[in-house]
Amino acid sequence: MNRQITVSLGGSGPYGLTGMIHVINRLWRPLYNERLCLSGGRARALLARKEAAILPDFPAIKQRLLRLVSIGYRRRINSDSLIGPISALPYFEGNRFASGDVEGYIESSPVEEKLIPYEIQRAAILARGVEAFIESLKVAEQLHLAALHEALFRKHAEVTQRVGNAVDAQGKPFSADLYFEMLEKIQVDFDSWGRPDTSGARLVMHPDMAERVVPMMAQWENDTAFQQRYRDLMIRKRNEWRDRESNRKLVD
Amino acid sequence: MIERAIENWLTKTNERNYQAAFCQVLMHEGHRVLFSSSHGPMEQGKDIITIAPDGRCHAYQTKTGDIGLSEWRAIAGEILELIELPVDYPGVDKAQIHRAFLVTNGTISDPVRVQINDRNEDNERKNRQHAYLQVIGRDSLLKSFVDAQGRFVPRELPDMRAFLELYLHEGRGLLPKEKLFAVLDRVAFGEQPIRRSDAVDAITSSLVVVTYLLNAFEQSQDYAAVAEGWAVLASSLVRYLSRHAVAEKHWRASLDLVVGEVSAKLTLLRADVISRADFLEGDIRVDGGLLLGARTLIVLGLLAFNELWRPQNRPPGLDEAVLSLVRQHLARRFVWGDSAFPYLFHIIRFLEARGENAIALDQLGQLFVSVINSNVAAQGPIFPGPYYYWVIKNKLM
Repeated sequence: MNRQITVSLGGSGPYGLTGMIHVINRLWRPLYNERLCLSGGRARALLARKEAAILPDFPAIKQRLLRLVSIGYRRRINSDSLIGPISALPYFEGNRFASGDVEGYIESSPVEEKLIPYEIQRAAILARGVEAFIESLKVAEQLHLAALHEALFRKHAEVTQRVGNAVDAQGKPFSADLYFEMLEKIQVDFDSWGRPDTSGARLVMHPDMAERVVPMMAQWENDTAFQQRYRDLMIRKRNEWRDRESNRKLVD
Repeated sequence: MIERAIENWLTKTNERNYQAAFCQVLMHEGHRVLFSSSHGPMEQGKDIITIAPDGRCHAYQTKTGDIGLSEWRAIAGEILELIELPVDYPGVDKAQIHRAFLVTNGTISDPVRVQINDRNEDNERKNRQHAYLQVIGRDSLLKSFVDAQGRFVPRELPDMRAFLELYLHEGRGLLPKEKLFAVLDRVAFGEQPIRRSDAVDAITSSLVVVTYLLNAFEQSQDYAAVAEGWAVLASSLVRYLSRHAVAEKHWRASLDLVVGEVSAKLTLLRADVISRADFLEGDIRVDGGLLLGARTLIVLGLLAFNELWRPQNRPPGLDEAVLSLVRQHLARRFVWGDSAFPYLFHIIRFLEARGENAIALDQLGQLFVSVINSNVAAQGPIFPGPYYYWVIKNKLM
């Protein structure tokens, strides 16, 4: 998943300013790109009062402030436990993406755009300056993250269904059997010491469900039968990993 | 390169912007400029009034862009006033028919030239006693400005760089005053005048240079920056005149023209600021705070200076408006350092002049405390030496 974010602004009036953070999602692989642009020619042009005199201004300082706000915004988006670990790369051109997997499946995805609105009151800027802008972006951050989560889960569901990795609980409650069924479906790599690398794995669930599942998982840590089953699974996964590594084509 | 720069500026600018330079060119040709309008309603078709070297009165109507038949019809009323109404100015003989000029930085189409010729001939044939209308188009203007620029062009690379940076400035932000000073100091006023005409040429050149170097700020209507630019020229000019003891008759009219531009721009700034609800500017998302405070101090300082300066030219009824602005916005002002002091100084003087001594004293007190605190923070407490203690004890107490 690749994202480009630019800003398009609704304009500046006597009472404040409404704007949009323009998010372009390019869904093609479990990576995303992000370019957060809170400044730029279009933004400046829209914000400038047309056909009117101007007062002394400090565009260089403002550009730097905008950059700092932009960096802060991006950091807060990246601090999300789900979105943050996903690598980001910038893409500057094209409106479609194509990607292929090891089985030769080629997927082509169009650009997806999302507009995240934000609003600043003129009175708030007069009273608090740039802090008012940063506060107004906090609402936008939540909307932005919600949009990213929605896109991530949607794409995740598509991909797992397609490759047959989806596990349907069929209404049954979460259990150790379901958990092992899930683990069976995923590919696990191992480090040079032979330890499973599950740093990329995430269990995402509704908070209500988490209330039940988290204590249950804590109990599993002391359940010898569970632990034995887990070790057996990991031995099998390690053998699969060794086979994969043995058959891996090395780059010249 | 300079010719191209002047041509580029001339084609993009408007009559308000090239008027001062044109006046200076006329003065360089021996005219005495009596009047240069700020394009108000009292012009009677005459933006500039001069007395030519032959003693005849000249009246100029300045325009922007190409003049075809449709533009000609749109300005017909002003042209009629220009040629029909006598020059109404103290010292000008109304009985004498003046010479009328239509000036534009564009071209004048052939059908319009034919109409002007026909009208001039018809007026003469019927002995109407109207002024004879002549035309000054872009090519003539360009030649005048290039000639006025003369030999005063940047030659060294740093000067050329400063010149181009000013000329190509986007017109937003503070005027780079040090660059303008440097260009004037090294290019226009860099050489010691040997002949009388050298000083006159330098003055003329400086005015033309500043007119087009400030063009970007003129186009964006940043009146504060333009006023400061003209003030930079005024101070550079005064330094040059003092240094080389140039006789007053050679510079008085030019300096008046420059000072008049400062006043005109500050008056435009005042009109704009009075119409605003607040001083937010540009990209307001990152405005406010210290930036708003600094802007508030600059604007109020310039307005206060303008109110104190040349009070006879101040339109009636605006005093209260500026005082009200100062009262309303002064709390937001931010003093960033030494260079902020002149703005604060004029505000304090303005408040004192308007009887607001309490506010003025409060500002002075805040300034005093700030200076003491910042010095103590930088150097720690400093006690007067025994000599000063003795002087204070024995002489003052």
